[in-house]
Amino acid sequence: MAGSPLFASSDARLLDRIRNGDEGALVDLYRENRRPIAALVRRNSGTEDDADDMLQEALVTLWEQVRRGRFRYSARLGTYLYATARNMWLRRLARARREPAGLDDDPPAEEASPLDLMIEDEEAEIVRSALEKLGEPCRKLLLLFYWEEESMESIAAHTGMANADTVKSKKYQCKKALEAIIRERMPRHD
Amino acid sequence: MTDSGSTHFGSDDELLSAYVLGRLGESERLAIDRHAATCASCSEALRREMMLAAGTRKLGRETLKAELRRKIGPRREPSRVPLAWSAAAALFLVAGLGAYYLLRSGGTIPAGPGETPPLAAKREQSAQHAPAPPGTGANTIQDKGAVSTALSGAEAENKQKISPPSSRVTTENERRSEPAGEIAAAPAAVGSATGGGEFWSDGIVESAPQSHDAPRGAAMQSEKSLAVSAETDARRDESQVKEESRRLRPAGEQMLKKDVYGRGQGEFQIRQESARTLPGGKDQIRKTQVTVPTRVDQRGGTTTMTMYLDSLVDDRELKNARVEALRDDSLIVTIGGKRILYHFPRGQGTAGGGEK
Repeated sequence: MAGSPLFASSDARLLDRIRNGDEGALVDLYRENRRPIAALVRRNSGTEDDADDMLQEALVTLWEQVRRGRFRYSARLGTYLYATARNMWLRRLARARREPAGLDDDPPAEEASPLDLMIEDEEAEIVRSALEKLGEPCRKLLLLFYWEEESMESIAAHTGMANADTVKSKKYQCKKALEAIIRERMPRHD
Repeated sequence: MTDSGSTHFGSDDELLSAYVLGRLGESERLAIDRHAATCASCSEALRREMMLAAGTRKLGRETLKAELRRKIGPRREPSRVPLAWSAAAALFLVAGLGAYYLLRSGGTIPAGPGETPPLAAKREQSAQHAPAPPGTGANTIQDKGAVSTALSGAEAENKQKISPPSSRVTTENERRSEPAGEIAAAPAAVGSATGGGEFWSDGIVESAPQSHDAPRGAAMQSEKSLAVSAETDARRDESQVKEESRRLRPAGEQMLKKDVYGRGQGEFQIRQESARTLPGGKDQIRKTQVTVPTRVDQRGGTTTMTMYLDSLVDDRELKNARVEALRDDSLIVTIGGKRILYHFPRGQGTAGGGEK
């Protein structure tokens, strides 16, 4: 349930701010929600740093979902963040213990997609590192495409390129350049 | 779009991206899955595209998290430092217990293995430098019952009341007020009518022991050297202890008054002691958490916090120590690049402390 109109109104404003790319909305959400999440993580063998990390991860997930137009408002943002941080923390604990995450009665929040799970992969780290060697225009284009999931038309508007076809062509060149950097670091990637 | 069900799609950049980003319809996606199951090159192209997308997302997430941390304030990223601290704490457990037995040799407790008189002498020397707190001296050692409860965690520890000492162990300050050979008096009760008293609290280290301007590499290096120094400390001989005593002034002299930020307005005095002088049992708490065992003495509106640190900080860092009252019962001490969170037992909070 989305809760009272008061919360819904406050949440709606925060969601609008995220849609407009205002990172300050995340800071506000961090301050509002840190305490319960810190208590949760501390109760479950974590530290204050772990709690911070989980909340920040949950905020980034919220940001991604909203910006990609995939966020469905089915609970207060505080509830969403709590459930997401909780699931992430339990997954991390389970990974550390090499056992399935044992979730209790709370409903699960967003399930991690295969792509999200691959982020933890060593190869993904190599790609991330290679991206930092890539020129700014290419890095920005690839971030807009793969992370923000913007359309070619939208990327063209953002980057000042002529049209979607120009973006497609440029994206292809950027991928090749990135793969060349990766090949240097990971001979298997050819 | 390519008929992916029957033809190779490994070079179809648009199709690969659409698949990875979930922009294909169910039938198209299934066709690709079927083809990839029998085509190694197409399967590999898909895997690469997935990895490229995952790596890009990773960069995006990390960039946003870094920006978020910057906007929130002091950086608090998870690090492996706590693990190193745990390892160091485990090593210090051995060293600390050894040191405790050494210290007890100055009293009526029989000497423990490895005990050396010079260390007891150093303690005596510290005693002479230490200013006496207002009021009568109070012994702060916990009895065995209190220690065993303390092992269950910091919160349980905070609720512990101080019990009369089970044996004679004096502190620096007490030596000045107690007749030699006399059993120390029972400590002031926690939560006394005046709100005064003495208790132990385990500060939870919130952040990595790195200065905000230190590069990450340096932090990792210090993490390594922390474990090494813990090991070294366990073997440290008396000449090294003396050298350290010379370099770092006796703990009792490093007493400073600090204002408390937030609504708590009581006076705070931050002191430090080497963790090697930690009374027995207290050290064991750090087996499970990165904590700073701290003796808290509240008298006459002044709270004196004696923090038992693995590595003593220098005068500059001690002067820059900062106390923030979070609530009635909790505060954060920032010292030597570390933020240390304390939850005090009920009735032992910061004077008038409240939300910032």
